[in-house]
Amino acid sequence: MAKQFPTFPTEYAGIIAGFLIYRYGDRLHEYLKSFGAGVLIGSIGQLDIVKGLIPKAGSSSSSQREGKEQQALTVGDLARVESERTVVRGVL
Amino acid sequence: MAVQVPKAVVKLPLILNEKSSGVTLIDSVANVESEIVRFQVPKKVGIAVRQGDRFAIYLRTSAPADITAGTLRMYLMDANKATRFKVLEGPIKAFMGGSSAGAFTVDDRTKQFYMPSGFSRETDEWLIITFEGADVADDAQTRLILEGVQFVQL
Repeated sequence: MAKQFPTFPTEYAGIIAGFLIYRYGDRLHEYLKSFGAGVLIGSIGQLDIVKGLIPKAGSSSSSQREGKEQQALTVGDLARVESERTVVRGVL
Repeated sequence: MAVQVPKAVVKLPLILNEKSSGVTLIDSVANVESEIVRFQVPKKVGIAVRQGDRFAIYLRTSAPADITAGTLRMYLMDANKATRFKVLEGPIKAFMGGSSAGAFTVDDRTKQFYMPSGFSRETDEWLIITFEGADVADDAQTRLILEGVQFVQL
């Protein structure tokens, strides 16, 4: 029977690898301590929750959204905004 | 070299009436909710009716005689008339502004009807007014006014 290895989500692979290098890397070379910490930090960046905070290439950034707002409004857009206004009339 | 004319949008008052471009008047059908006014927003135009804008309509029979009983409704529809939203519904008298005996009187503020909320329509969309009553409204006798603002793209 083939030996079964536990499976992990890919998001955690970097963390596990980083931890192993951080914990045992000094046995190979003392400089791997800092290298392992670097991997750990890098792996955190792979977490979905962190990814959500970092805009992907090609997605709309805040500056792009601002640029969109600067585009010319259509007559329909202008009419919609105007319809939100209220005409105040004086009382005779 | 060709001179390129810059595009611009002009904001103008909208005073929609029975003679406005794009307005079609139709006779009503007795005791059936039937369209009496159709207005399709022209190309490159957006209209806005705001809360507090004035609306008045005056219907008469072909006799002519004033129509003072019946229900008036106003609908907003998309360009294909696939969806519609009712924005006004009430007795015709509420929207007559005191008009009578052939005089479309809309200058008495105490009798005027003001839109309770705003709405907008853009190119090709429809504004429809229907009437349901025992009397038949004659299209040639229909008078109306709807104030607002229009945006015209040059």
